[in-house]
Amino acid sequence: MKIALVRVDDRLIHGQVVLGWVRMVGATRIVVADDDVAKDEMQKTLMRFAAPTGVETSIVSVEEAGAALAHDGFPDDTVMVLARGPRELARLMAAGVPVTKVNVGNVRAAPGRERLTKEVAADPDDLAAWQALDAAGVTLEAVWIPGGAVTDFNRVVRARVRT
Amino acid sequence: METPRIGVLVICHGGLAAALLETVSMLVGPPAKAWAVGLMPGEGVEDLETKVRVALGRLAPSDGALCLVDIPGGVPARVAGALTAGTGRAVETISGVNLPMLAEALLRRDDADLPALAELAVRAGRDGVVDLGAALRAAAARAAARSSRS
Repeated sequence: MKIALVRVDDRLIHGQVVLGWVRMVGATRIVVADDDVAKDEMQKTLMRFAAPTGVETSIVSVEEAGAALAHDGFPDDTVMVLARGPRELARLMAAGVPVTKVNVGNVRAAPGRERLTKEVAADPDDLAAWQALDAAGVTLEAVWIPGGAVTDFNRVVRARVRT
Repeated sequence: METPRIGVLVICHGGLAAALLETVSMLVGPPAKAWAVGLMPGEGVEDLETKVRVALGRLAPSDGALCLVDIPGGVPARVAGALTAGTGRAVETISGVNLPMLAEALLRRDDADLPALAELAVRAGRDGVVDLGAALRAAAARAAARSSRS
């Protein structure tokens, strides 16, 4: 098993964005680590159809994803991992999933959430989680589609006051 | 990304090809070596042939070309089909172009030769046609069956 890409995007498998990344890294399987969607048959169904042709999907809870990814659960696959936000990512790492670089996509803007970039908003817990990932030496790159402009997201979170 | 060895031509009635190519860049970024050719109202076979030849002329002689046309019958399909044989260039033509097909064709050019790329594009185009309503009703039925068991 090779983990080719770890992306944080609150839309998870979302045709517009996933297509390019899957093909770019040659992923054969998308692992969605999300507690809410794992319980929701309707969302799971929609997401399966949103995956590009020929690519397998595993839509499971963060705990199940962590266990599988930390213990070579998909031995023949090149895997793209999708998580909703930095806290889910932190849980995957705590479960032993090796993460050195994270592709940061869209993270939900909502009232009470501060915009860190055009695409990424965070509440204090999210910001703390990002900063912990930064402190752990994880490279954070905010980038929309393959070949698009890359923002050094480590710098963005370091520039914020620690919470 | 290196320059692809296969050019992609989207050839449709009206403004569809241009719209598809413009829209697909939202998904995969601005594509290299890809052109849209439209058969506009009042134009005939010769007009479209000329436009297609101009587009093909931008390719290196050794480059292959994948033509994606809108419907299996019609001038775009005829013009592209005529190029598939007898031009000395490797050309494949597929009808029923949609966004999944076009995105796949643009993204897979580095890891497939022309016949393989045509197969991938056909598959992606077909897989893009899904009765989501039926799938969602089936999913809802599964969820209901599970909750009634527990």
